[in-house]
Amino acid sequence: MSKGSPSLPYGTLDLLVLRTLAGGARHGYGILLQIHDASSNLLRIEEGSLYPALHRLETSGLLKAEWMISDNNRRAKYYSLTAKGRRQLAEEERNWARVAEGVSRVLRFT
Amino acid sequence: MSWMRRLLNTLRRRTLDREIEDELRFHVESRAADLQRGGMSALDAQREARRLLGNDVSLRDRTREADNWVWLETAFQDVRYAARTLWRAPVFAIAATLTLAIGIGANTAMFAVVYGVLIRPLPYADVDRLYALFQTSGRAGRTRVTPLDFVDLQAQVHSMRIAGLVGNGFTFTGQGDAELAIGHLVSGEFFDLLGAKPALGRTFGPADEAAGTNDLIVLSHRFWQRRFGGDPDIVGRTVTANSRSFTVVGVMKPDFSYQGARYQFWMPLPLRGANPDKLPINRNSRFVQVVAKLNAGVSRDAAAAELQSVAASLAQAYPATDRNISFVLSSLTEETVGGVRDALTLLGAAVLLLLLIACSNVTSLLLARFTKRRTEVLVRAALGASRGRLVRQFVIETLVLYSVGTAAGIVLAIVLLNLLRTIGPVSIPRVTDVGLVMPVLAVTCVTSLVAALVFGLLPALQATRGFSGSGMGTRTATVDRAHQRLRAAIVVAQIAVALCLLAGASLVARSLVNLQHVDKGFDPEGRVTFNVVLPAARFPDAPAMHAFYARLLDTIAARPEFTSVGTTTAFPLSGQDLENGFVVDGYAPPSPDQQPVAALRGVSADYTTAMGIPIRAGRALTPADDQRGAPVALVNETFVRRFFAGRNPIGGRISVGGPWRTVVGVVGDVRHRALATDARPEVLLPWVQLDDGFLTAWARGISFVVRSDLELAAAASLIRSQVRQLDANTPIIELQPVSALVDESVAEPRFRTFLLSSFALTSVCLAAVGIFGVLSYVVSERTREIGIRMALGARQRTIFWDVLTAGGSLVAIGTVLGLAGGVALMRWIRGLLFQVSPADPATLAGATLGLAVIALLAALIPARRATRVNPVIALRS
Repeated sequence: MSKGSPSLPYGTLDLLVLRTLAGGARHGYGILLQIHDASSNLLRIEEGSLYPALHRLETSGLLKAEWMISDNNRRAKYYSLTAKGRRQLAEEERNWARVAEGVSRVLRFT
Repeated sequence: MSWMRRLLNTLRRRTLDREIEDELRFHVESRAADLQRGGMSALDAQREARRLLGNDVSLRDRTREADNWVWLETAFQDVRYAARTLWRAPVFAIAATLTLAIGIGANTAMFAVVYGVLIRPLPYADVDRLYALFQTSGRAGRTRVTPLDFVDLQAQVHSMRIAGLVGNGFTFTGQGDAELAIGHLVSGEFFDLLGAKPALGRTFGPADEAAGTNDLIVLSHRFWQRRFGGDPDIVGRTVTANSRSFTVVGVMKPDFSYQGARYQFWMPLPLRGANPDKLPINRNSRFVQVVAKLNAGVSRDAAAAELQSVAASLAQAYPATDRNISFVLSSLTEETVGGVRDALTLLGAAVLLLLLIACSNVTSLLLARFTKRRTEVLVRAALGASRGRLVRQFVIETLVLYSVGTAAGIVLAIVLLNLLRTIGPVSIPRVTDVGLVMPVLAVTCVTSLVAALVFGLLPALQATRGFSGSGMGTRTATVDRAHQRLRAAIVVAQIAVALCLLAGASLVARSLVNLQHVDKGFDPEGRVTFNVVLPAARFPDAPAMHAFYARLLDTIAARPEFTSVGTTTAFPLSGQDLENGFVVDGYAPPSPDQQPVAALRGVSADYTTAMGIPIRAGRALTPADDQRGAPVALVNETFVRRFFAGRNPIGGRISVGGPWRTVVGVVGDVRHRALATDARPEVLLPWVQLDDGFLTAWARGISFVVRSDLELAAAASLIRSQVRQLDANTPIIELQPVSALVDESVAEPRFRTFLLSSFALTSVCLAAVGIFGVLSYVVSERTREIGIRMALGARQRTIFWDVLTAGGSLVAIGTVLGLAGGVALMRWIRGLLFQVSPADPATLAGATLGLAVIALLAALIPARRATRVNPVIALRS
């Protein structure tokens, strides 16, 4: 992990993963890069936590996985959202917005 | 559905591992390619990519954990590992398995009996509404019901339906050999009341009774198979029994029986609508068994209340006989199995204690074994295994052991149950239906599982103590001492429990011996008994019966091989009995309606001599006491005590409703009903002087007793040939030595004693093994210390006594606890004891001594081994 990148609050990883996959199927490495890019390298995912999280989301039925051929012509495991995953994403986004709003208000107030 | 996906993933572990592998490899390679594009060398890029991903092994584990149940997976591993370790320690595995198999096998077999006899409901409809109904009046206590009262009762009660039944023997002829079979005469409601449906044809009912057709018969499935070859066209056929024709109307299903399989057929009991005056009985002949079924919604109390009011109206209608009458209900289940409930409960408790000892022995073995594997535990703890993980592995090892033990135990139970069917007494109700049915197996498996968890957790916790986290350095001595204390406590408990069992078994055994040596009132040795029935069809009236009886008696008595020959209408211990009301001249009952009741027997002149029943006063009967002679009677001592208190009975007068009879002699008391039951008042009348009506109705079955020095087979063939010479159509039935009858009457207590003693002895052996194990372990652990002491000059004798004292103190503590517990528990079995107190000092002392000797013998071996320690070798090791 490089210096200066804040550590993720607990539970945020799931949200980021779901959000990233809302744009279409990606493999694990792709998800990682996408998060880095989208956050302009502000957020860095600890690579070791990504795969357990992906497998957890898959077994709970939020993601489905498929082995496909990647851009560089290799076999890779592609994850995409299930219907349940989409619902979960919407819910977590709402939650996040409320939490973020609440936290920033508190920070402004004190 | 996530649990299902997890389960599937657990099952396809290999594929899953490969997929994770592939996925991570793709990640690393993609990252390395990107890094390489950024200018890194191929090798550095690879290394950096790996570093970024983090700890490879842990990542793979955590990923896999998200996909499946790792605990299930490791449980599989643990089971495999446990099986391998047990396989490598065959002596331990076999000893533990055998111990468990004995405990679990004995429990399974015993529970199968308890379940089959006590717990499984009787095979009738609405069992909870079925009751046996008895009559009580005055002194007689609970008796069967008189036929006349039964008829009135049936007409007057509305809260229940009742059926009467009378057991009777019939001689079947016409197809194959003449055969006497026992069946029940039952009133029409009987089958409907029990909800019994036939397999073939129909049963009979109140309609047949109303139509007056009484020559009907329903066969039991077995009787139909055996005597009639399972003839499918049997319904409608005619069979000949007691020289009368009966039409077969039906065959019952194989599982139907009432009061056991020995009752093989059912015929109508012609009581309803009968003219009471024509019945050759009075209101004091109580022989109808009554089964009652309460109407739906009627409580037992309401039913009892109605019975009371009926009794009151009977008392008013027949003040002479029914003044004090009342009826009581007792649940049919209780009547059927109540007699063996205490004994079976005791045996069940005993066998549970046996299981406790067996399990604790295995726990003791496991303790020693797990403690020896301390190095393994240490290494695994150092590699990061949590205590929970280690405990789980040890518990799983115990579970594997118990599974094997349970399987072996079930096999043993099958063997034991087969043995029970061959040697077990037939007198235990329903014992033929006992089997390893599902509920029994389920209880066995649950018991084993619970035992495995309880008894396995203890050594597992003990073995992993002090190894968690920073406790790595705990000194082994501390752990060892705790372990020793635990095993010592187990041994003490085992000794205590084994002593309780041994004391209980000794008391029950003492009772059996007392029972076998009780003064029976007659002499069974060198005597043979058999029965002859004089059927009404061939001997319709009293003169015909008298004539045949006299010839029969003469024919047998004519043989010089037979020292004396006697007959009675009710043989002791045979189950035959008949009680009747008496009037005793000069005896004033405490209240006017409490007429004396006594057992009534019609006997031959030589009966008392032939049976070896002593004459206490007056004289025995003689051939002169016949139809022409003056009416006489013999009474027993109990009769004298009760009704001739303070008077001389000889010359006194009694009456059975007929003429006054002079008491000419007093005979000794005979234990007629059971060896454990005191004699009741009894009157012996000359058979030939019995009232004609009584004779033709109730004295057709005659039991002979023949005194002879011949072997049983020789005596039997001589008796048969004599009777055949006289009359080929009279079957000789139930010929057996009188001693066999006595043996049979104690079969159940003997069997109970046998089982309890087996359990007790097995427990003692297991407890001895326990002591042996603990002391052996102590000696092996202290080899070095003993070596040092011997090197320093300790004598062998000192070492020997040291070890023996260690064992002895355990035995002493266990014995004291066991005695205290035993005395408290023994009160519980008082009902099963005969002429011995539950706290009988001699028995308790004997049991204690026996146990102590066996336990010390077990301690002797390790003590001797301790003295053989070679100091040089011990110190070098």
